[in-house]
Amino acid sequence: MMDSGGFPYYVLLPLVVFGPLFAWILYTLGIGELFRTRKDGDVTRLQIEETERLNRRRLYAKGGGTEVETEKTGRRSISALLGQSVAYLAFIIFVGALSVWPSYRPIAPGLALIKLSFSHPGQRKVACQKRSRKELAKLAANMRTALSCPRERWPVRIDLRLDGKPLYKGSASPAGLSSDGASAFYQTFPIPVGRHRLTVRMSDDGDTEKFAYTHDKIIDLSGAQIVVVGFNTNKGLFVK
Amino acid sequence: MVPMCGSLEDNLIRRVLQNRLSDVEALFDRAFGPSWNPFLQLGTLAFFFFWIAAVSGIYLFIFFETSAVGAYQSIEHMTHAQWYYSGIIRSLHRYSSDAMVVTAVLHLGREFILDRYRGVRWFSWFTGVPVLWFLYMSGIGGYWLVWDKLAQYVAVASMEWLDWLGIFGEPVAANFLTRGSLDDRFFTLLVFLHIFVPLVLLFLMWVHILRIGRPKVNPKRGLAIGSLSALVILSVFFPALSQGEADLGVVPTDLGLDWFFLFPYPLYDKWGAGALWAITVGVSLLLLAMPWLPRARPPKPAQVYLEKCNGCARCYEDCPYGAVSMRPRTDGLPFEQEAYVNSDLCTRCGICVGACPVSPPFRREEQLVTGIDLPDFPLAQLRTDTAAAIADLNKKTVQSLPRLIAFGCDHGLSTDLLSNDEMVGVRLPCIGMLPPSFIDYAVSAEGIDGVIMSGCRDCNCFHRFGINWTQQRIAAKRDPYLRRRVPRERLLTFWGALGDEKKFQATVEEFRTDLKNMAQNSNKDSE
Repeated sequence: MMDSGGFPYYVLLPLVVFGPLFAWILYTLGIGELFRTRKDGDVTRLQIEETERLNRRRLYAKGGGTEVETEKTGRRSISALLGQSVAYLAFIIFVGALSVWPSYRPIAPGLALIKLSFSHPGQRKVACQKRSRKELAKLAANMRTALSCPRERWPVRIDLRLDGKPLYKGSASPAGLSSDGASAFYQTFPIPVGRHRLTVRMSDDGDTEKFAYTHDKIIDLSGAQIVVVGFNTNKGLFVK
Repeated sequence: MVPMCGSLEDNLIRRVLQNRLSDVEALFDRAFGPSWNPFLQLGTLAFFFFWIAAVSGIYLFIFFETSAVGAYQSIEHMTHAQWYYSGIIRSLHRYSSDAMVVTAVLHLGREFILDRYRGVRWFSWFTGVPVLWFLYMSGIGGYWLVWDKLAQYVAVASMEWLDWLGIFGEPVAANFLTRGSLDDRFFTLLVFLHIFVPLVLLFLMWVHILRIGRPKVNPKRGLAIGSLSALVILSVFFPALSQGEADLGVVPTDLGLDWFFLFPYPLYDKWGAGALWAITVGVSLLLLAMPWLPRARPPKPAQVYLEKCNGCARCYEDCPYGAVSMRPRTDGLPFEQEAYVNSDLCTRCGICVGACPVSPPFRREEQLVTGIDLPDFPLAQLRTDTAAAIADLNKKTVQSLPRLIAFGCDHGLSTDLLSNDEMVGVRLPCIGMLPPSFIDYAVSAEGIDGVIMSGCRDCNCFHRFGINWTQQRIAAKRDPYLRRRVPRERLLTFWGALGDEKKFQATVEEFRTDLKNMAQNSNKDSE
C-alpha cells in the first residue's frame, strides 16, 4: 500500500497509461458502434419515410397545406426522456440491490461447525508374505519381488461422539478399482456453541468391534467457529 | 383484448404471456422508441455487457496479484486507494456481469414466450443453454479471485457440491480446510480459469448466432450509451466492495450475496448437493429438450421453381435466416446461378417470395408460378385471396367511401381489425412476403383507392426484416421496387401489435379522410 503526503500524483499513472488503452479496447471490441453513423434502413428512417408519404397525402388532400410535423429522432420528448430515466434508475436499483441484498447467513446464529476430513489408507486385507524360491522362479524375471502383497485394503471406520452421544458413525471404502487406495472422509456437522467433549475413534484394520485409534478432547466453540477433526500418520487422530 | 393471431401456438398460457409481454414492450416503446427499446435488444445488450466485463477484466488482471495473501490486498488497494479509476473499473466488471445475466435470462424468456425456439430455430436455443452454463461458471469463478469471505463461502460450497459426484479420488473441499492450506499457485490456476472460461463463453456466443443471417451484436447507439452510463453511475455511487478477508477457521456470516450468480448456494445449504445437482441437470436437460417438446410441425419450406428462377439472388439477399444460397445452374438454362433453399434453416416466412421479381399477379396464366414459393401458401393463393377480397370489397363498399384493402401479417394485428364492413384484409405469414407488384395490381389494375400494409411493431418484426424490406421496396430503395406509377400517397404502412388497435383505427380513419379529400380536390381540378 502506498503512503501519501498530499495528493499522490503517481497514482494517476495507470489512468494515463491504461485509460487510452482501455478506451481503445472497448471501442475495438464492439462499442465502436456508438460512434458510427447508421448505415441501413433503421426504423427512424422508416418512420420518416412514412411521415413523408403522409405529408404528400396531406398536400394532395388539402391542395397544398402545411406539412405534418415529422418525428425525426427516436423519443426525445421530455416525457420520453423522463420515462427512460425512470427505466434506467429501476435498472440501476435492481442490479445494485440484488448484487448484495438481501444478505445471507450460511450458518445459523449459535452454531459452530465441525469438519471431519481426512484421507487414510486402511490396512491391507491380506498381510504381505515372503515368497519362496519356488514361487519366485515361477514368476517372470521382472516380477520377482521378495514380498507378495495383495492390494485390497480394509475400509476405514469412524465413530464420532459429541458429549457421549453419537454424532456420526460410518465407513469409507478404499478408492481405486482394486480397492487399494485411501479411504476419504469429508463431513460437516453444525453444532451448538459452548463447551463440548468430542470423542473420535477410527478403525482401519477390518475390526468391526474395536477401534485402533481414539482421540478425546474438550473443545470450547464460539459462533461460526470451524473445528477440524483429521488424521495424520504421525499424530494419529487430532482435533484442531 | 384482441388475441394474438395466426401461426403462433394456440396455447392459453403462452397467449397470456404474449399479451403481457406486448403490453410491457409497448410501454418501453413509448419511452425509448422502437429502435432503443431494450426489450427488443436483449441479445445485443448481453453482448455489450460481455465486452464491458471483458475489457474491465483485462485491466483488473494487470494489477491483480496471484497469491493467497496478495489477491485480497491487491483488490482492496484498487478499490480504495484508486477508487476513482480502478475501483470504478472493478465495479463495472461486477455490474456488467450481473447485467449480462439479467439480459440473457430475459432474452431466453422472451424467445420462449414468442415461441421462437422450435423448428429450425432449435439451434440457437440449444446452443444458448451452454452459453448460460459458461456465463455462470465465469461469474462464479470471478468471485473466488477476490478471496474475501464471500469467495471463501462460494469456494467451499462449490467444492462440496462437486465432491458429491464422487469423481475425485479425495474430496477437493479438503483443500480449503484450515488457515494457510492454500498456496499461491492455486490463485494462478484460478486466474487461468477465469480467462479461459470466458473465452469459451465468447466462442459459444459466436456459435449461438452462427445460423442467424445478419446477426446484430451491437445495441443501438443511444441504448448503449444509456446502459453504459447507468452502470458507471451505479459503480460510482454504489461501488462493489470486498467482504473482509477470507478466514478458513470461521464460517462466513452475513454475506452480501450476488443473487444473480449465487442464488443456487442457499439452495445447496438448504437441500444438499444431490438435490442441487438434480435441479441443475434437470433444468438443463429440460431447456435442451424444449425445441422438441412438442416438436413444431411447421409448413413446408420454401421451394425453388427453376423454370422461373433467373438467378437474380434477391431472395438470397433478403432471407433473414441465411436459408437461401446461390449455386451454379443445374438445369441448363442460360443463367449463371440458381437459388437453393436449405430446409433446415427456412422458417417459412415467405420473404423470399416477396423478393422474387417473377411474381407479378398481372399475368393471366392459369397457374401463377414464381421463382421461389411457399408450397403451403403459394403466391397463386395470395393472388386468389387478393382477387376474392377485391370482389368482396366491390360488393360491400358504400360508393362514397374510399375502397381500402389491407395486407397484414400473421404476427401483427388481429384479423378482425383488417377486415370489416369498410375494408377487406388479406393475410400473409409475413408482410415481407408481399411482392410490390401486388400493390400495383390493387391500385392500377383493380382501381383500389388505398392500400394498407400492416406488420409487427417497429424493430420487433417476428421474421426480423419483413417490415424493413417492405418499406424499402416501397421507397424504391430495395429490389424489387414498387413501380413509380403507383401513387405513394395512396399507401399506408402500419407497424403494430396487440395494444395498438385504437391507434390503427385512428390511423386508418385519418387515411380514409385524406383519400376522400384527395378525391374531392381531384374532382374540383377536373371541373
